[in-house]
Amino acid sequence: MPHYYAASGTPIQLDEAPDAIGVRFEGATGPTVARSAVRALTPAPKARRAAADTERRPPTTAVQHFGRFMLLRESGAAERPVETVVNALPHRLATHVSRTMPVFIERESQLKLVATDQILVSFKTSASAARTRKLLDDLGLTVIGTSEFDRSRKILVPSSVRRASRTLDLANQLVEADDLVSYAAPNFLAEVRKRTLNDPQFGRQWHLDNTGQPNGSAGEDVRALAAWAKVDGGKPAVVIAIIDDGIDLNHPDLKTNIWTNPSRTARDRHGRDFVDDLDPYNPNPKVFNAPFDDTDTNDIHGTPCAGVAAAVGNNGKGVVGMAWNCRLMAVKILAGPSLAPNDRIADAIRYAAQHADVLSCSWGVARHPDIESAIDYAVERGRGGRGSVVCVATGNDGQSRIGFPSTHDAAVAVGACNDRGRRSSYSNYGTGIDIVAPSNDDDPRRQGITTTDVSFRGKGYSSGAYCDDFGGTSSATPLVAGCAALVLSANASLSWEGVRDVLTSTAEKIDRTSGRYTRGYSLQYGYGRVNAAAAVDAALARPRRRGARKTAHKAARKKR
Amino acid sequence: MASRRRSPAPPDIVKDQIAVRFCQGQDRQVREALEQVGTVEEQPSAHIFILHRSPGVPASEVEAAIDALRTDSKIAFATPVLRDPESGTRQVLTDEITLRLKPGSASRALEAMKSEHGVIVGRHNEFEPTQYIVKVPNTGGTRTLDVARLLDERDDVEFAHPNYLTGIKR
Repeated sequence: MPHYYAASGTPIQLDEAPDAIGVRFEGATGPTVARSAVRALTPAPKARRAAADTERRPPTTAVQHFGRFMLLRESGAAERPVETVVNALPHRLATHVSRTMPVFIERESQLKLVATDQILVSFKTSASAARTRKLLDDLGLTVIGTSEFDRSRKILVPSSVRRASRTLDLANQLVEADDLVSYAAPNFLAEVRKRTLNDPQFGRQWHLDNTGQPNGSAGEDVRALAAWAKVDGGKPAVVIAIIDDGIDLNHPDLKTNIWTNPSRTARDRHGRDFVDDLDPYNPNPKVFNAPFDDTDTNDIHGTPCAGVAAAVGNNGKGVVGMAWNCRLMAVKILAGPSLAPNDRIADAIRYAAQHADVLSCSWGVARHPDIESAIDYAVERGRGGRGSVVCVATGNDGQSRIGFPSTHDAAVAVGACNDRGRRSSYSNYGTGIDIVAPSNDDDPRRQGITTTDVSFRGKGYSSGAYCDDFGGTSSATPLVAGCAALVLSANASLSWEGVRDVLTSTAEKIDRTSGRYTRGYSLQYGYGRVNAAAAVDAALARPRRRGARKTAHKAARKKR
Repeated sequence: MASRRRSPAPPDIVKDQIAVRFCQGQDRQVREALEQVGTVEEQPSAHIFILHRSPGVPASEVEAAIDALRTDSKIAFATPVLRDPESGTRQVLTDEITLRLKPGSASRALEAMKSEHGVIVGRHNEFEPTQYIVKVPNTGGTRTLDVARLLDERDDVEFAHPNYLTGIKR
């Protein structure tokens, strides 16, 4: 039987899990009893092997507990109702069981939720005490707690014992009183999935999860695992434009994530090429000149950038991108060694902003008013007025001055740091730098970035479809772009300024000694190294607004 | 944009390079002539060759070769190659200027610019309703840069700047 609860006005669909049940233990000793019950129901490995052929106890009962609650799962539930496991508890423990609770599976994530008898509700500040009290009385609910962080948020329980699945109905009835209630949902015991990825080269991607491999310092990374625990690889609706020399659209580890124009009649199916008038709707890499690993003369730069941002994750192939479930749009402004007209570069940015939430620009040019104007366009008109986030590399000249267009007030200016949490020696720094992200270094002992490479035979940084020596602020920039995409996956209502504020305010202060942070800002590192997990947490905590919100970048904080 | 932008720093001229736009079907002959005085770097999508003058070849010899090509109508223009002092990237002057007008002044302003400076509209920007690429006839030397400066000073202009063929640092 389908069930649901509401989150931000959207029904979250649930199915009952027939093989699982939640148990609550009462009294002051509840948590202790729960722990004992887990031990009692978890057979020792030897006993488990011995019991496998007997019918004396279920062979695959699994138990977890949190406080006074316990979650039971039993694969043999079809033959034996899971309640019988509770009945198998020793008497001294069974007497403390206050209730059993149904377990639901959330359809989208397939995560388990145990329905307790508690409801979390947030009352509107305009709700009078009298009307609130009447609502609770009518529904038979009692307040048992108030949030220490938000006085308007209460924990409710039914005044009399009822079936716990009724909690869903009661929460939904509260939601209907929308003149009094901001939100209401069951206070589920929620399963948290620790994600493990099956991409074979993930272990080499220290920038995502630095375990100290092989000469790095453990923890000097972007905290990707913790971010993915909250939002997985992001939402497919969030699009990252890689404005560069094209993306290998048929790369086996990118293809699934390549953006497709929702307009069926559009000729720009996956992006555009702004420098090839004869083939403008094919943004693949096209120009190659020997030697085929030379960045300046070959179209081999955009594909690694794309992989850093959003290579497909958990597909059993190659590598993982930061936002491995978001989409990639290819916008081509470079062709081999050719120079590019300023107006084409500017129009590429404008075009990207019409379709993409985040723009990743791993390049630098001379200042030009048309390109400045195009970035204005992106932050003012992108995302229906909320503004596209424009991530730009500070440059690789080792100078104390960041390059254009990262100097633009509305850009997120991205520098690079290495696998030991120090500035990469080539990374431009100085006034205007916003943030840094892990990349390689001139020091050959420091590791490069493992990512996708063009899959054309004999072309690219390596002989295969992956490389392990990508780097520069070129690599740091799509990494931050991927983090921005996860932030928008967590909270799509943020403006471009909101995203930049989330990224910079949660950045990790690295190298505090040499970084010389003043009021949280360093000329070497900006506000620090991007921390994807903290950024996603901050985005989830910020309010969600409906509808577009016009932003004017002139109102944004001035860059340092 | 309400406020007028600060113009980028003036670029430096790269002394031993010059850009020429070859006329339709003349690329082979132009290349052969230029290779007498230096090496040729192709920018095919822009129909431009960048000549790198060989060491020992005097500038006057290059000028003579280009004058001959111009007289024979084999090239549309020859312009200097510039270098942006901040980024260090090359910028090739062409016959194009990016022009953004202030709202409400388009047709009158464009007519005035045509009569005063001879510039004509090349194309209308796909995304910005008051932005155009205008072309400067009889381009040569730094004429495009000079005309862009004059247009940029007009009250009805948001900005005017050469639409350089620009180097991009990856």
